[in-house]
Amino acid sequence: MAKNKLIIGGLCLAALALAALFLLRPTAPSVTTAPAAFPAPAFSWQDFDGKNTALAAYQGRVVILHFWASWCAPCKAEFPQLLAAAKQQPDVIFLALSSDSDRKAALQFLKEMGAEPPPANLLLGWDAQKKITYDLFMTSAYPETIMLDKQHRLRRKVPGVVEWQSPEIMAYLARLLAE
Amino acid sequence: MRFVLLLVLAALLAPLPLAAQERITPLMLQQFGELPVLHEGRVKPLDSFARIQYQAVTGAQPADPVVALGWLAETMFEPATVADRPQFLVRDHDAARRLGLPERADKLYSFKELITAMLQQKELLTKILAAEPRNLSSDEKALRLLYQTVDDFRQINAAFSLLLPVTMPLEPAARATLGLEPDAPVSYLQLRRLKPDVMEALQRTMRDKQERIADYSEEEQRNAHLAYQLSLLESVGANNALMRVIPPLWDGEAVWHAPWDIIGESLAGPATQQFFDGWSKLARAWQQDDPAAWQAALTQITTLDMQAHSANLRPVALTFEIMLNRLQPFSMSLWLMLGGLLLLGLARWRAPLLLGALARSAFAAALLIHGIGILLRMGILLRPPVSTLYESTLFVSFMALACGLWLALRRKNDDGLFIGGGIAALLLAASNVFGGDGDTLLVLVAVLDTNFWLATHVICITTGYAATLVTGMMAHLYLLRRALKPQQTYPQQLARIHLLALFALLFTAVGTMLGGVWADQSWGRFWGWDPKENGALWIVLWLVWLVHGRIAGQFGPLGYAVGMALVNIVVALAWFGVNLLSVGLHSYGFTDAAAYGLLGFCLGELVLVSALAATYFIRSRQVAHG
Repeated sequence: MAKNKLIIGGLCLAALALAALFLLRPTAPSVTTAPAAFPAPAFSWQDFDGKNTALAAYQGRVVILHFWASWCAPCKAEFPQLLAAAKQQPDVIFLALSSDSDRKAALQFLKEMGAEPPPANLLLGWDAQKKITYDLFMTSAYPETIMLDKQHRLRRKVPGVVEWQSPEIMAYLARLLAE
Repeated sequence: MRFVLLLVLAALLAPLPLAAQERITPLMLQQFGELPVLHEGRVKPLDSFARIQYQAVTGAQPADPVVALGWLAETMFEPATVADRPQFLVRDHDAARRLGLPERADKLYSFKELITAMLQQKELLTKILAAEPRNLSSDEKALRLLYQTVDDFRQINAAFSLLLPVTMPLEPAARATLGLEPDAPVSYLQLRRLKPDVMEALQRTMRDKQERIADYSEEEQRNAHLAYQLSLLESVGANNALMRVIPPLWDGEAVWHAPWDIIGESLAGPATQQFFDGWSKLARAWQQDDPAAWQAALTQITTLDMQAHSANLRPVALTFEIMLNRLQPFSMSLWLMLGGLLLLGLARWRAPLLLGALARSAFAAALLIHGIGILLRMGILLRPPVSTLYESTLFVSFMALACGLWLALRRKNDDGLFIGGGIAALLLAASNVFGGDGDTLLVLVAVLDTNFWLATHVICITTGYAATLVTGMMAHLYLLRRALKPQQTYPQQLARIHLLALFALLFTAVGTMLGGVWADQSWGRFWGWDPKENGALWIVLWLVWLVHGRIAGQFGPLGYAVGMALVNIVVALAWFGVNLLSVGLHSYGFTDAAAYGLLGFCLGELVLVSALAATYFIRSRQVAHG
């Protein structure tokens, strides 16, 4: 009888041990954890005057890549907001890359948007061949925005219009700057 | 419509020349099976994904582990080749007739045949897909399932079509823009680069000339044609999100993506391109049967998967799952148990010591392998092994076998082993019904997703089920012996039944109470008269009634044994029956096979126990009358 009690007690202890094992062990990580970021490819771009600049020149700075085209209606709606964000966030580099094949149309667009001359941290690029826009960043619908952290890792992509004044975006940029 | 577009795509896809000396080996295919894919809410190896899809299409378990992987690779990377192959098993005769399919002895049809038939019966399928599954007839259910299988196949078939070369006449100017040689193959992904300019030009043309195609210049016509071809290729990729092989790559993302889906959602980027490059090379290596390129592409994709460091990718879980797939521990355990039962039976006639020892060894090995299987499943899902009906069946089978072995080793009693092993084998065989044809490693609904309560309440109650079933079967054996030799009373065996009943009562009662505490925490009430709660209570009350009656002297040995033998019916109804009611918080839905199986079991038990008791009474009277 004592043996039976021992066995039953042992089984109960085993069940408790199993319970404790599952209670104490960490659960599977949450799926909302950010994935590890991949580095952005090294590239350089030309501005509308043909001057070359490399991304590497801005190492240690948060960089926002913004892809646009003059014929894209949502880009027209977004650009003033982007401009305002660039003025509000002087520590962030905004690189606005146009995919226009027509240089004049792109410059006209910038003029209409009041981006001529741009603030110091708003860099303008012209990528008519789409070597950066599509070949490197796979963008074929405009506007699109890709955010790079200070190590120039690919952190976030926003297809379509970004609400630059939204608290969420402001907080995200602040987070990138603080890292 | 998507099916038609897929056929068009299949025609456009260019077969590549085969120029390989060496071939892709089964081992290399196994490595392909180790790549992760998000499917049904869980990251699993392609090996599991391939098995599930292969079985859904062909209705057969893959004969060899690499068969399903070869099938998957061919379906993905040679879409045109597989469209005409009769491989879809349409078991339901009425479903085949309603689709207008020709009668065939092997019941196998090709993807092309099925989509053609489904397009002709579009109205019928629309009605079936919109209806509540419970309101469908059996052939309509079969049609619904067939549609889903065909649609899954469509998605696999076209999953990588954006990376595969298409035979599309392309203007020299467009080729020059893309930097392509005159005869170089071109994929949708390359053509997509032209899209913004093509669409912009088309918009201009449409604005000036609307749809008056006759007024279009040659260049405008070529542009319009290219825009149409691009939209055609894109349509093939619409609603194609089954093969989620690309992990989340951006902050805030949690979901894995299928190639077309990542393009459709405009979430591609430089890292995506590296994945596309790897998969593109893998497809090419498959088409050219180039083992070196295949290995290099697999390495590239695996490195990228690891680099992405997705939160829901656990390499160790993938390894466990591949081990589980290759080892098939539950099948192996079942065969060992059947062998053990056979040896136990033979030991009654010949060489009892040797055959008995062999039988015990077979059962011990079965228990070990069964345990390994359960541990692997726990390692994959990171939860106790009792979260679904299928899992509880596996666990009760394990516990019944453990109980039987304990009786055999500690009590030197092979009857217990025979019973425990028999129950375990029966449950393991029945688990296939609950496991179905799909994935048995399911993601839990949120309400069940708490490891503490799964580890305490469910483990406790299922251990109680196992002990109760062994007790019930011991009572059967007792009744059989009494029926054969009415003058013998077998007091030791009765004592053993009583001991097991107490053990079963302890676990079912504690388990039921723990369930109440869990319910109080989760739903704010200890008891809600849910069918499952009532079921658990039935078992406890049944056991309390019998044990109390026995101790109080209200039941004689035979009445006690009859009551204990009938406890199996109570367990079956409480464990499986309540799940078929389609009401309550523990209902997992009605399935015909389970319902008929349960009904057969209950009736069979009633007949068997009644027959044993009647035989005893008749024979004991004969003995009494001399």
